[in-house]
Amino acid sequence: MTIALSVSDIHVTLGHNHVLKGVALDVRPGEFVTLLGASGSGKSTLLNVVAGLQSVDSGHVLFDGVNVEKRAPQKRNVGVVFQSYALFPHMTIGENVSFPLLAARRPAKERRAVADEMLSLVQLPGMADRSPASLSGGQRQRVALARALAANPGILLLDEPMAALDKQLREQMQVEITRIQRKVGITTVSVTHDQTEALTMSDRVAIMRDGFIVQVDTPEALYRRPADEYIAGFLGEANLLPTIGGMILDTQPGATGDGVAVLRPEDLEVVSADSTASAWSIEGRVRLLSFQGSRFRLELLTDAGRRIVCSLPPAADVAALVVGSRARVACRNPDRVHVISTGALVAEPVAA
Amino acid sequence: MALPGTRRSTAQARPLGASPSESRWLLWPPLIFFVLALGLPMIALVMQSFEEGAGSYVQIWTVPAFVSSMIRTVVLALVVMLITMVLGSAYALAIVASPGWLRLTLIAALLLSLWTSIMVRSFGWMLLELPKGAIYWFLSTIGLSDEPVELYQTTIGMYPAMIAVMLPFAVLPVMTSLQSIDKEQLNAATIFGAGPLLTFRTVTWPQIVPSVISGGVLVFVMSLGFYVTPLLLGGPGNMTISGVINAQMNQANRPELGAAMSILLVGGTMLVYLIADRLFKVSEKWG
Amino acid sequence: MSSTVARSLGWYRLPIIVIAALASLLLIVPFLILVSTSWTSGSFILFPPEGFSLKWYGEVLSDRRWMGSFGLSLWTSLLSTLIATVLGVSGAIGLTRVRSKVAARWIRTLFIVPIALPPIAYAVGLYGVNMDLGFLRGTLVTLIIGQSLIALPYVFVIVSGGIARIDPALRPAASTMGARWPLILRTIELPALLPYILSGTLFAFVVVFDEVVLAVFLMPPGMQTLPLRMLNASQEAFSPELTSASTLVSILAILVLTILPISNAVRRARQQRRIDAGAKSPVAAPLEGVTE
Repeated sequence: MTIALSVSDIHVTLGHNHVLKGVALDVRPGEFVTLLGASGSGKSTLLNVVAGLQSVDSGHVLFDGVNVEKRAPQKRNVGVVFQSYALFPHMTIGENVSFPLLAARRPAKERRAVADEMLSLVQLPGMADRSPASLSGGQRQRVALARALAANPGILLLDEPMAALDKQLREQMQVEITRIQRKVGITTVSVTHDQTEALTMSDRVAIMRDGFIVQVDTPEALYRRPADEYIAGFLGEANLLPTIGGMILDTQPGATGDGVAVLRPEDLEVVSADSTASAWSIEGRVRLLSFQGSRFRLELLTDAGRRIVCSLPPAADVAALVVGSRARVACRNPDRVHVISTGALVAEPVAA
Repeated sequence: MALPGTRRSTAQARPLGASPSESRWLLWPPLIFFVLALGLPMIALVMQSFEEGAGSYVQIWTVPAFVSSMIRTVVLALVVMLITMVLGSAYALAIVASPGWLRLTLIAALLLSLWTSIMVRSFGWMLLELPKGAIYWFLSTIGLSDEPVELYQTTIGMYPAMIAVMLPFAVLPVMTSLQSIDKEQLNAATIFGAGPLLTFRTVTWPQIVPSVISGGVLVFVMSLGFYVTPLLLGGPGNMTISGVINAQMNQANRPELGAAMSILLVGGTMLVYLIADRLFKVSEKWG
Repeated sequence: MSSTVARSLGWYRLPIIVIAALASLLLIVPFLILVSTSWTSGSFILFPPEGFSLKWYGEVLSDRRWMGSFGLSLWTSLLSTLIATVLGVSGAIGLTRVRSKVAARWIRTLFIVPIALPPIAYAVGLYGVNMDLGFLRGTLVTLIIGQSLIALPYVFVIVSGGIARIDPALRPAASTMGARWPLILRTIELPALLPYILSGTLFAFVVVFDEVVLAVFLMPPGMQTLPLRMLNASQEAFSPELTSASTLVSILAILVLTILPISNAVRRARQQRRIDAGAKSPVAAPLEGVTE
């Protein structure tokens, strides 16, 4: 029973803060979209708007084309996984999972059957009689997911789902949740500030800032072709260099040309000092060379005072890269370079 | 091999940064004070009760007012406890769920009650309940009744005043625990379709039950020993145990009976408090 | 905060609020009636009061006996509250140093016990102590000690609440820097607890000032604390002096207890204004070149 979600022109003011300033987004049925942004960007507020926990000043929320922005949260048939999971401590796991059915007054036999089915789906079979306190963090998250899916909702909402997990568990659960979501095929919107999580799990990512959505695209498109410097810097490391007419301008930090080139550290390689083979090259003094296991991290300081970060493969010849010596790095493949034209240095809010 | 004179560390680690002399200096003065201020009077009570021999403890049961006052007191305490638990929870819920101006009013009324003297408030109730008091004035003004009101110095007359005096003690703990209620759980219940009753049963009630009980126990225990309000509003025909004790001391001049009754009263009250504390961890809510 | 709970109550919200509003009447109305009878121009306590006159306030304030009782109550309550504060704070802080959980629970129970103690039984016991230790007869020592015990739990509970809010890592951190416990106490814990100590003291003061049962049994003949005088007045002639005195005392208590939160609020508002003014200075521009 998966549906299409659409929000348009959403304005929300909380106290004196204009938190959402005309947000629009379309999510296709079965799609996994993540709202990615720093705190204060409005992403959690937008999620609450979809859930019905936050009312809007103006704008529309449509489930399969039907306006629901005035509908009570109880009646929207959405499933939510809350940041701290919000399991009911006095109920067993099975009772927690079948709670949405209890609220819908389904008979006990049906509730038990659905609870068992959901718990198998999240790979916690046979846990129905345990209590939430006896479970680990990762297990509790899965129970929360099972509960969210139990009543066969039209939309699944995830509120910073990985926030409470440690790093290793996080990576594991990112894969796990994506798997379950694909299997069930439910339209999903997730909120996070962790860009790795967003890039790993989503079909598309919507970057939010200051109450706007600034770019919506697939993870790879966002990484390769960010719409502005903020986005470029937000997703991974980026060397942002001003350009004029397609050439790098190595000037003081703060100078602007007619565009900004985004050079990813992993796309740069060390070239000989006099090589001018590539337009996308720059030279400086070695400031740092450190071995990071799978890569070398090289930092250069250009004469104009810019810091350039490169990520070199383990097989690279680093013998000549002594701190203080000069080196030149370049991106040999011009397709890997993305130039943001100055006119669009701050991306306009978009709808997608 | 441990050197002679060193202490082996105990199973429980000392709290970081603490030293034994510190606990001594900090805890002993109040504890000694308790021994003197609490222990001595209790000993004096016991001694006094035995002054005319152990028969005092038997004789008190023959004092006609004693048994009836005991029953009256316990019933009063129970009813007041139950009513204030319900009313207090509703009051606390209202404070948390009201629009701003109303919340301020409710809190102001609560604080006013806590800060004004119990006796003053009891006087106010007297003025309400007197045969030609404020209630009479109100009823006759709106034309409902012209007869003098029979509330003052009746059994029923004590109840509203006791409830009003005890209500703040039942409201405060519930209000505190409502302020730290898990909002995500409330939202979860709502999202998954629960109506107000199911949400209350599943989320709210389990989180406030300990404070409701702790407030109730406190009200019960305080009501058992209460002197001023029942005296002013119940009158001589409706004495509580405190009143009977007072009569023995100051009118009948049988201090040994008064002391024996006091011992029973203290013993009973302490017993209830300690049992409730064991069962419901009342003191932890308050400390 | 409240909107989440408010929403969870659904349509029950309105009836609950109505019930609470009625209950608040229960709390306020008696007091208001009492106040209104104190400005009567007649000679009796009547509701509604006849006329409007503040003469009874004048009567009470100029009556030597009332003012004398007020003064007596004032200094006995101050002394008792002082003792209760010192011991209550000491006990609350000392409790945090106790290792054994079981012992801590019992000590905490003990500190709260006086609230559950029936005042009359305690008064009779103290009276017995007075009789047995003859040198105490006719003094106010037992009264003050008794009142201190009654006040103790209030200070203890409020200060314990404050202790729970202090960062528990502060003490070990200070001790690693070489501070010994008296210094830690003086420079770290007590200042942090000051608002709670003040609030506990004020509250305990108001409770003790109102205390009448002990006074009934322990006051030497000829001396009456204010509540005792009020109680006796209520059993004899019901003169408006009584209600005027009651009103005055209540206003005093309310003033004393609102001074603290109001001055706190004023101080905090001033601090906030200072912070807002400072925050207007421009933030340093971010590093150019590499962003993460």
